[in-house]
Amino acid sequence: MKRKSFLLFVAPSVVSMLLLIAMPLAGVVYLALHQSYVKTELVELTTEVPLFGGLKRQVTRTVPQPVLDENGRGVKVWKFVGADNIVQAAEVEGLDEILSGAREVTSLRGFISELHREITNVDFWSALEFTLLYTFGTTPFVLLIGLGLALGVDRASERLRGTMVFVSILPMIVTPVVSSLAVYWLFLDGAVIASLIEALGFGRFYFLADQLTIRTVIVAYGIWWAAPFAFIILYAGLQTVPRDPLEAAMIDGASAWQRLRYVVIPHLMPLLAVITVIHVMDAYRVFEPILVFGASVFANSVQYLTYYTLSYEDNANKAAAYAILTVIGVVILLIPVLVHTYRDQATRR
Amino acid sequence: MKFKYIVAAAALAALPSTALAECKVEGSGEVNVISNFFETLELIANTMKECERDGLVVDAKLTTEHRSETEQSFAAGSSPFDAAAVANSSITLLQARGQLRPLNDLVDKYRDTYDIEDQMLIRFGDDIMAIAFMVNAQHFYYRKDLFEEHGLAVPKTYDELLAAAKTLKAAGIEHPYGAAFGNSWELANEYVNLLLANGGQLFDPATSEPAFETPEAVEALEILGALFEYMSPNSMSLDFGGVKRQLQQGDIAMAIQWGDQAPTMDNADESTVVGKIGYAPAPATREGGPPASTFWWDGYVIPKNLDGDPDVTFQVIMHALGAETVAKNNDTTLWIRSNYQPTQYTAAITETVMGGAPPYPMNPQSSLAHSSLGENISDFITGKESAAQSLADAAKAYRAAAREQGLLAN
Amino acid sequence: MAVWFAVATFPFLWMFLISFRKAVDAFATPPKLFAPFTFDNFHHVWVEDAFWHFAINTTIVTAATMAVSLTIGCLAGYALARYEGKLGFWLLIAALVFRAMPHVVLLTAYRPAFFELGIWSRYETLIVVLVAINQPFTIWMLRAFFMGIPRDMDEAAMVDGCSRWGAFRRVVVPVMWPGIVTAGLFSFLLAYNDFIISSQLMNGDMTTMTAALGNYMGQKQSVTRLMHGVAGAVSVTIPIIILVYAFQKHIVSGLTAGAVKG
Repeated sequence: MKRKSFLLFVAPSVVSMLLLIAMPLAGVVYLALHQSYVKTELVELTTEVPLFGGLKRQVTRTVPQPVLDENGRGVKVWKFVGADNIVQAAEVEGLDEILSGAREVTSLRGFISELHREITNVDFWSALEFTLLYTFGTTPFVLLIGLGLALGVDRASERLRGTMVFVSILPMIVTPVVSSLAVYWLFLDGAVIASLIEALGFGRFYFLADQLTIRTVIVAYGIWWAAPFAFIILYAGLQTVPRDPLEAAMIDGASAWQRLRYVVIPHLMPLLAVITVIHVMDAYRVFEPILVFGASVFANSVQYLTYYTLSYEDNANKAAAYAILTVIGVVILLIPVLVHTYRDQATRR
Repeated sequence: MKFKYIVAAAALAALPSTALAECKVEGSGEVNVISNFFETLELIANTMKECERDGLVVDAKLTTEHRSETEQSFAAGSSPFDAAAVANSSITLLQARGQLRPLNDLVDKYRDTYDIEDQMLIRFGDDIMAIAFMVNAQHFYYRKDLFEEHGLAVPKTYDELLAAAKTLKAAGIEHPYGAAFGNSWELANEYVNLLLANGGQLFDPATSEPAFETPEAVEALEILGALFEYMSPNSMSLDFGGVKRQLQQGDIAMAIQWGDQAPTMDNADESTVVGKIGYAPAPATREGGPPASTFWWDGYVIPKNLDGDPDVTFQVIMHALGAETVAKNNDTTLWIRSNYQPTQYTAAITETVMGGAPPYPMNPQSSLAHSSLGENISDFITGKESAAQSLADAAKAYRAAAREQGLLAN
Repeated sequence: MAVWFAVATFPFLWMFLISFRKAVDAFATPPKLFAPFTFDNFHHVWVEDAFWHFAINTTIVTAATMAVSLTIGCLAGYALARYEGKLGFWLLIAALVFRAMPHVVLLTAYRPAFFELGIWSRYETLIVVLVAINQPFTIWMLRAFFMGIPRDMDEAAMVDGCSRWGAFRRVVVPVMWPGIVTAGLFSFLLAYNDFIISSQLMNGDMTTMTAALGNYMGQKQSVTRLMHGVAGAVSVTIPIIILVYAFQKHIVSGLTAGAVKG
C-alpha cells in the first residue's frame, strides 16, 4: 500500500485519537510535572453550624482560608516540581528506606519474605503487586478458556450456537460495575455460595476474610469476566480459517490435535496476540472488583489508587502521576508483544 | 435538547398526592444542580423540578461520584453546575479554595419570601457559605428483643458495648456487631468518631502537623480492633449498605448506623426485624465522655464560577427547602427548619448531639487526614501491623498530601 | 463447557431471580429459593423513574458510536494490515499507549476544555469521546482480521482496474463480516456499558441507562433503590440478548461468504 493512501485511510481515526487522547495525555504529563493548589493563610475563624430546633453551635479555631485576588477568586499556585509527583506516587522514598535499612540476615528465604512483607506494606508497591498478580493470573486462563469455548461452540450444531454464544459471553456484556456486584453478593456471609458450602457440610467459609481467598475470588472474577472476550474474538477468527489446508491435513491423516496445533492456531496467532495485548492492558487497569469487593486492604490496584487520589484527596497532579505510571507499566508489560508486532510489520513481503 | 423528565421521582411518588407547591421563582434561564444520591436529596431535587416552566429549565443530577465532579467543576473556568449539595466534609476544600460564592446578599433579599431561618445558615466568619436543611449523626442501633432476652442494658460506653457483644456471642449469636470497615472512607469515619471522643485530634491547628500518633489515638484504634473480633470475618469487605442489610436481615445484633436510616428498619419490604430495633446515642469511649460520633449537616452551595444566574438558582434552592417541603415530608429525615416535628426515629440523633458529639471538623486538613487514615488503619485491624505503626503510616501519607496541597510547609 | 455455562450464567440468573422480589427477600440470609413475586421494581424503574428516557439517550449514543467507530476503524485497520512502512508500527504502538490511559484521569483533562467550549453534556461530545477511546482497540482488532484476508484478493481486484478504495469496498469488506460484526459488538458494548465517562460528561437528564444504573447501585443508603437498580440491570441485558442473536447469524453468514470467495 502506498504511503499516501495509507495516510488517507488512517486519517479519521488518527485525528480522533490525537484530539481526544493525545492532547489530554500531553495535558496529563504537564499536570504530573506540576503541583497546584490555592494559596491559603491561617486565620482565626468562627464557623457556625445548625443543630436542630433552632439551636446552633459555634466553633472558633484557626483554619486555612483562601487568599483571594482582586476578582474574588482564590490565588492559584502553580509550581514546576519535575518528577516529584511521580516519585511521590511511586513511593520511592518508602522503598528506599526499606532497601537501605539495616536488617539481620539469617537465611535467604527469611530475608526475601521479610523484604516482601515490608515492600508490600508500602501502598503503591502492594497495589502494584496485586495488579501484576491479577494480570498474570488471569491472562493464561482467559486465553485457554476462550480458545476451548470457541472450539467447542464451533463444533456444536447450528441450532444451538446462538444460545451458546449468548450464554458464553454473558459475563462480558453486563457493565463491570453491575457484574462485580452480582458476583460479590454471592460471596457474602449467608449468601448463596457460603450457604451452599455450609449445606454441603463443609462448614462456614468466609471468602472475603483474608488475603488469599479474596485475591482468589477477584482473580476468578477477572477470568470469568474476560474469557468471553477471548472466546468471541477467537470464535469469529475460527470462521475465517481457510478450509483447504484443513482438508489437506485431514487427507494427510493429521489428528485433531495436529490440525489444531499446525493449522488453526497459527491462523489465529494475530488474534491471540491482540487478545493478549488488550487483556493485559485491561487487567493492569483492574478497578471495579477492587471497588466493589471493598477489599483494598487485601487487594489493591494502581487504578484504584488513582481513583482514590482523585476522589478523596482531590489531587489531580498526583492522579496524573499515577496515570503516567500506569502507562509506563503497561508499556513495559507489552514489550514482548510490541517486539513481535514490529517484526511482523517489518518482515512483511 | 433539555428533556423535562425526572431523574428519580421515587420519593415524590411516595407522597400523598397533595397539590404541588406553587413555585414563586422569578427570572429565567437554566439551573443545574449536582448532588449525592440519597432519599432526601432525591426529594429536594424533585421539588426543584416543580419550578420548571417556559424559559426556566431545572436539571438535578444525582450521582454517587458527586464529590470529584463538584470539585472539578467549581475549579474550572466556568462551572456548568450552578449549585451543589455538600456536607461538612465536602464543603471544606471548596471553601478553602475560595470557590464558593458568599450568599449574604441573596439571603437578605429573599429572607422573607422564603422564610429563611437563621439556623439554616452556615457561616464562615461573616460569610454565609451554605444553606443547610438537614442534620445527621451516627448512633447506636440494637436489637431490643435480644438485649431483653439476655438481660443486657443499652451500652453507654464502648467497654459496655464490648461486654454486651461478648455475652451475645456466648449466647450463640455468631457476629453480634457490624460496622462498615470495608470502605476506606467509612472506616476512617468510624475511627474519627472514636478519636475525637477520646480526646484526640486529627492535626495541630497551628501548624497543620498530624496529631494522631498519640496514646488517645492508639487507644481509639484498639477499640476498632476489639470490635472486629465480634464482627463477621467478611467485614473488611462490607460497606455501610452491607451492614445495614445485615441488621435488617437479623444477622447482627448491634451496629453504629447513620441516624436518618432508622425508619427503614421498620419497613417490612426491606427488613425482617420490624419493631425490634432500638435506637440510642452513640456510646462514649470512656465513662462520662461525649458520644463517639460527629454530627453532620447537608446543604446547598453556589460557586463563584457558575454559568447561570445566582439569583434564580438561589430561588430554586429555597423553593425546594421551603417549610412546605418539610411539612409534607416530616418523617424523611431530621430537618433543620423549625416546623419539623421530631419523631421516634430522630430522638437518638438529637440525644447524641446534645450529649456533646462535635460537628465533623470543617477544615481541609481533616479531609486529608480522613483519607490517609482510611487507607492505612485497616492494616492494624486485619492484624498486619501494630496500631502505632499503622497510625504512623497514615501520618506520613497525610504529610505528603498536605504538602502537595500547600497546607504544610515542609 | 457445561461447567462454564453454569458459571457464566449463575450470577445473572440469581440477579434475574431477585429482581422480582422485595429487598427483604432478595437479600435474605440464608438465601431463599422461593419468595413472593413482585413486578414493583420493574414498574418503578420504567414507569416512575422514566427509565425509557435514559434508554433513548443510550440508543442514540450507542448507535452513533458504533457506526462512527466501525467506519473509521475499518479504514485504519485495513490500511494498517496492508501498509509495509514503519509508520504503521508506530501508529499501533501509539494507539496502545493511548489505550493505557485511565479514564478517570482523561476526564480531568476533558472537563475544563468541554466547559470552556460549551459542549459539555451533548450527545455529540460523548459520542466523539467514546469513539476516540474505542479506536485503539478497534484498529488493533480489525487489523488482525484484515491480515487474515489474503492480499491476493484485493491485489487481484486492483489489477482488474479497481482503485485501492474500490478494492477495499467491493472485495475486502464483504468477506470481513465476521471481523466487523465482532468489532461492532465490542464498540457496542463499550458505548452501552460505559459508566464513568457517560456519567460524568452528561448532565442528569442526558445520561445513559448504564450511568443511571451505576448510580442506583453505587448508592449505599436505600436497599429499595438498590432493588430498582437490580431490576434495571436485568432490563438492560434484554436488548443485548436480541442483538447477540442477530449478530450471531451474521457471523455464520460471514463464514459462508468468506468460504465462497476465499
